[in-house]
Amino acid sequence: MDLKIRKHAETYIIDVNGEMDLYNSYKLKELVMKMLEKKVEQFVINLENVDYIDSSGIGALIYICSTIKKMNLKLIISNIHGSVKKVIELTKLMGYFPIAGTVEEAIQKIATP
Amino acid sequence: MSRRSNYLFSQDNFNQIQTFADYTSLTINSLFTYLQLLEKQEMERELGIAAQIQSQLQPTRLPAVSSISLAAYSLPAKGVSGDYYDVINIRKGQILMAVCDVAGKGIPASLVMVMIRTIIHLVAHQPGMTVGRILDVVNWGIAGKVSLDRFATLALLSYDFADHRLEYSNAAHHPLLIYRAESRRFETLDTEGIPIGLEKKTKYSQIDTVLHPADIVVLYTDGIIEAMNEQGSQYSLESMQRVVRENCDLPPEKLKRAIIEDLNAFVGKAKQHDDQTFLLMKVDG
Repeated sequence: MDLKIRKHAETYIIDVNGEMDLYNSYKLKELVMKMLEKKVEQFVINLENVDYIDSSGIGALIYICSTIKKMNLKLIISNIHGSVKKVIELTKLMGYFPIAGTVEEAIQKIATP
Repeated sequence: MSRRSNYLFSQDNFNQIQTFADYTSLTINSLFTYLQLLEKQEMERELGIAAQIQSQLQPTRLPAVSSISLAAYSLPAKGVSGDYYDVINIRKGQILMAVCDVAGKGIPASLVMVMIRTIIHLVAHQPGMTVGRILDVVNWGIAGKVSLDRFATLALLSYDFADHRLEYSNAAHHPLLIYRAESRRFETLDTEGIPIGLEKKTKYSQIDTVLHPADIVVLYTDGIIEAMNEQGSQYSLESMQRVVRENCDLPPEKLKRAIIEDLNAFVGKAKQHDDQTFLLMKVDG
C-alpha cells in the first residue's frame, strides 16, 4: 500500500493505492494520527485505487473515522467501489462511514457546514 | 604511551589487536543472536500454550441430540485464531450456535475472542434471553473495552427441537445459509446490525424461520469463501454451495469432509492467511 497526500484549500486528501490488509493498514492509521498531531482538521480518504480490503483494513477505517468524529473534525471516504464496497456492505458499515462518490463531491460536502 | 622507540606499537601488534577485536565483536554478536533465538523460542512456546488454551475453549464434542446432526471445522492460519465457533445446550430442547470473526489475527484477536466467548457463556442460559438480546449484551460488554480496529462480526442462531423454529441475529457477519431439501435451493437469512464493539448502544434485531427434515444450515467465516489458490482466485460461496448441494444426502460429518477436500483441492499449496471456520447443522429426516 502506498499513501500520497495532496491539499485542496484546507482539506487534505489521502490517496490510498494498493491493498489494505493486515500487513499495511496500520500505515494509514499512523499517517492520520500524525496529521491530527499537526492540527489537520479536514480529511478525505480516497479509495479510488484500492481493490482489496480485509477486516484489518476495515478496522483501520473504523478507528480513523471514530477518532476524527470524537474530535469533531471532518472526514469523508470517497470512491468506494468493487470488492471494497462489497465488504463494507457486508459489514453493514455503509451508514457508519461518511461516504462520497468522488473526491470533488467529498470536498464539497466538507465545505458545506 | 611511551614515546621511546622500543615501546612503539608495531604493525604486528596492530594486526593482533585488530584480529582480537574482530573476534570479540563476532562473539558478542553471536551471543546476542543466541539470546534473540532463545527469546523467540520462548515466545513460540507461549504462542503454542495460547493456541492450546484456545483450542480447549472450542467445543471438544458437539452436543449429541436426537433431532439434528452437527459438524464443525476450524483451522487457524497463525497458531491462535481470531475465529470462534460454539454450540451450547442452552436449555432442554434448545441449542445455541455461534460463529465469530475478530478483525486481525494472532494473540490480540484471540484475546477478544475469549472475551466474547465468556460473555456468551455467562448470559446464554439466562431466562428470557434471545439471540438478539445476547448480541446486545456481548456488544455492550466489548464496546469501549477494546480498540475499535479489533471489532468482531458475530452471528448467533438458536434452534428449538420441539417447534423446529430457528432464530437468527447477525452483527455484520455473513448471512445465514440454509439449504432447503424440498426445493433443493439455498436461502439466506440476515438482520441489520453493525459489528460488535463499535457503538455501545447498538440494538440487534432477529429473524426466524421453521426448518424441515433434511434442511442444512451453514455458518461460516470469510476464510472459507475467500481462501485463495496459487493463481489468486477465491474459493467463493458458490463453490461451497455446490459441494453442499452435491452432497446434501450425506450426514454433516461427511459433508464437512467433502467441503474440506474440495477446498484443499482448490487452494493446492497456496499458503492461507485467514482463519477458516464453518459449522453445519442438518435436521434429521
